[in-house]
Amino acid sequence: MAKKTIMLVCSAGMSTSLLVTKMQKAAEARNMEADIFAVSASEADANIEKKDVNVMLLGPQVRFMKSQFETKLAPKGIPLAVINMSDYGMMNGEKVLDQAIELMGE
Amino acid sequence: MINRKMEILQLLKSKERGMSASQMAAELNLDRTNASRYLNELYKENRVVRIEGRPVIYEVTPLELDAGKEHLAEVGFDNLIGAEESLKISIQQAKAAILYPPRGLHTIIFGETGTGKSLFAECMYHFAVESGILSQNAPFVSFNCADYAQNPQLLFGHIFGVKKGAYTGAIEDQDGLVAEADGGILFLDEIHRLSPEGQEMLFTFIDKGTYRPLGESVGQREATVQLIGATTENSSSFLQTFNRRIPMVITLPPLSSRTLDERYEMVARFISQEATRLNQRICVEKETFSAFMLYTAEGNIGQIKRDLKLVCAKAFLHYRTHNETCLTLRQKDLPLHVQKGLLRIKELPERINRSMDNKSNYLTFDPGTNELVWVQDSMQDMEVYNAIEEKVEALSSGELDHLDLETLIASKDEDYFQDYVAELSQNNVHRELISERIWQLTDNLYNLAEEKLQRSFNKKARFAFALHLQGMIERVRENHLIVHPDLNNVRKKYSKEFQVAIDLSGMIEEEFAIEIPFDEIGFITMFLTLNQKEVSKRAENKVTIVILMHGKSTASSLLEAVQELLGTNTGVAFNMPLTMEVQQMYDKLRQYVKVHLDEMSGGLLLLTDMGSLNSFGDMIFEETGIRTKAIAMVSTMVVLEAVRMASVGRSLEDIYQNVQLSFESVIKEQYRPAASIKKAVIVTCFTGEGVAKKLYERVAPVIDQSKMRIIQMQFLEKEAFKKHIDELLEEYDIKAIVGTVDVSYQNIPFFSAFDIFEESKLAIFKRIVGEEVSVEQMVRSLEGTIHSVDSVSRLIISLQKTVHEIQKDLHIMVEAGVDSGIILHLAFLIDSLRQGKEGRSFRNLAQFKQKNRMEMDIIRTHLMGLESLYQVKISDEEAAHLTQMFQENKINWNG
Repeated sequence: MAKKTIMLVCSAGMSTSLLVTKMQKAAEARNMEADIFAVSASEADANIEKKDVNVMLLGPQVRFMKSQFETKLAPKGIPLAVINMSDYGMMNGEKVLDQAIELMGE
Repeated sequence: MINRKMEILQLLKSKERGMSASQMAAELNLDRTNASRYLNELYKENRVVRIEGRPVIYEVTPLELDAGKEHLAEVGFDNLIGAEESLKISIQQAKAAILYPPRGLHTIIFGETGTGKSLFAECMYHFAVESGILSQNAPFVSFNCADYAQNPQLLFGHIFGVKKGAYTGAIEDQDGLVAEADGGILFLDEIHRLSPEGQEMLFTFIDKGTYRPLGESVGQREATVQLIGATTENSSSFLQTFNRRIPMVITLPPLSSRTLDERYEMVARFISQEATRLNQRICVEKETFSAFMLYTAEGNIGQIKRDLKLVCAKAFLHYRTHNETCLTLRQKDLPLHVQKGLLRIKELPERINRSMDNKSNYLTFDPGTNELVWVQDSMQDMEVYNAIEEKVEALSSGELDHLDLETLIASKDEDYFQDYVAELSQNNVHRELISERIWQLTDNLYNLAEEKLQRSFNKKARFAFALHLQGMIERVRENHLIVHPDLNNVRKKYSKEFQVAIDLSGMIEEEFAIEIPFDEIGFITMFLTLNQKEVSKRAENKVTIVILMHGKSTASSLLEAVQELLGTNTGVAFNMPLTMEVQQMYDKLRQYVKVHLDEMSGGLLLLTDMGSLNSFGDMIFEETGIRTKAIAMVSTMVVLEAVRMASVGRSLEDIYQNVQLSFESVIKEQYRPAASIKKAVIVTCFTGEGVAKKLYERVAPVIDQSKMRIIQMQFLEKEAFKKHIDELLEEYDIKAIVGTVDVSYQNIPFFSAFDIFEESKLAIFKRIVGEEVSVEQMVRSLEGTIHSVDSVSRLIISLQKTVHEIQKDLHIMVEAGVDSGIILHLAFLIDSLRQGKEGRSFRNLAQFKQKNRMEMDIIRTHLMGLESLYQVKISDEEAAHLTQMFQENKINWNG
């Protein structure tokens, strides 16, 4: 499996950064090669251009931005979803990683 | 009732020779002048020829004769749209079910409302006849189980037959549907509506081929019947019961999974059918056709058909009044939800677009194309047109100016259209829930009530009543005692409605042969008082704050200070000089309340300096009916808080609780807010058991009852109900109220009985009562990541409280998961601020602040508490981000 780039976005990129740490641990445990990082909503655009993102996940508090990102991501074929609410609340890295993998269709 | 002109044409077609106008008039029982007028019209339309002479003889034109010989397409699988595509597998299954030796397989057809289950069953029957499995004259019996769903005994008798004397009124033996369908097919629609007893008997019949009519004690009867059931229900419990017994399950696809080509064919076919029915060319604007191709029709094919019919009716009216050459379906006549289809015009594939894109802007449909005749398609089809026709005729025979004709008809016809539209828009769920008989009666009752009371009742009120009626009849039949706790007051207060209610119960008694208890009339009366414009509708009044203290001017100077601090004039002070007796003081207060009764529907909060004065609270409520709460040992801080909250419109209970809490918190630094409070949903109706029970059944499946209670409650009178809610609020966090009477209280989301049976509203309800991530879970997830505060748990608890309060003050509610998202966001924000990190920027901050001043202010106020608690300064930018999060994530439960 090729290396995957997973981008998390929330209002300030702070709360998702904790989730990133947990997801990285989960990925390591599975021997999965992944570049997982979190950014704030305002930095998201730049990162879409800069990096070869495979999937993008939104924190529930910025779910209202989903459609806005969708229009940007759809032409590139990058899947996008809002992080499952309870997984987010519990900072469940395993499950959010599962969600990301599922979105990438692998 | 058949369109007269059509009738004449039909008659002429059936005759070998022509007829004169008088012969025609005699045969059709018409006035002769009318008959000749119609014939003349037909002549002008080139549909009949005149053979001059005495009398003039009319004959149909040869062309017309051909048109009349149109071959009606056979009902059969081959004529189903999508037979080679979406329906291919279903049809293969169906054929297999019919051909399976020796006598076919019992079958169940699943499919959403309007996907064509009945038509499909009919096709199965025709296939069975064609393939010689059934004889030419084998019966096809169709029955909708919802018709008798309310009365299991009647339903049972209807299906299996009744033996003479089985019950009073069974004066002779009566064959059931099973006997009727012997040697053929019995189609049971909405089979999930069968009672468990009915299902049991049906299974016995499936297993053994024998049955026993109601009231027959010995012997079994036999019948050979292939059963086809249809249902919209696909819940697992239902599936399990039926799957074991019914081997063939066929699923019909919803409209959304049909191909666009199929949809094109459907729309085209339905328009052709209308053209044939009217014997008239129909022109369709291209936009109209596209809209019908693309709009979201939740009622599937059936809805497309209904919507098209409505548009055709409108076009017909226009056509008749303007004497146009062609009936035109215009985009502007489309219902809004159909027009919305045009928003998706890009989804229309080029190839279909091109096929419509011939020279003109219209598509035309001519009469005489094949028409699929379908038993379920009743005579009603022609009724709309006939009604319009009659109107046009009646009016044009008078001396009417031609120009005014349409407006006149429009006004005369409005009621008719409104009913028609209402019927169309009637949600199927609402329809299916209640038997046709109850609907009918409800409509009759309400029509009478409207006439007698000169008041109109909307469909929501009717629906609530129909639900109630259904339950009430059951309860009366089962001899349940019905008690109205406040009958006398209702009778006095609503004497007019009460009179009408007596009449209505008479009608119910007659229709259902039951005896309505006197107390029930009280409930019916209450239903009739619904929907009235409330006298005190002007937005709920603010809570009245009364400060009651000993001393010549203690109360007034305290209030003055607070009012000055807050820049408001909310609140009233009562000074109680030491010379004044308590009774005197009370009289003074009562006098004040009585004078200002009108402004006090928001309730009264008494702030006193001694506990003894608190007894005033209950006494005031007893005497005036104004909800009153009292708090003793007030301080400046308490008055400040109470007055502040009252001036922003917070409710009595809310203020009471908050003030008490903040008071407690002064004494006891660490209390546990909201965290441990139980959650609840209230379902309510007049009886507390009739409709409320149905509502309970509706919401129960979407609620995790280990975490949330559903409280069934009686609603007799608004103030008492509110008081009851107040009491519950001390113990519960009430997430929603579902009920028959609209209660807007405490900003608790309200769902009417009508709403909750709508899938879209239920979905919103689900989100509101949705599961939340608990504080413990959140704290655990943050373990070891936030170091700058002493207790993560305390941080989360205060954040939860803040987020909760902000929503209350903004009068909004965000979805269950979003608030935990916001809480986590705040937790990290505070952590990073405490570590001295820089905040973020916000685009167009000034503009955003200006636009959301109110919201920003409220949020800022709540952040102040956090700022002082955690010694941080939250920037305007961050506050704006937060405001945006709340604003953008709110649930729109009113819309």
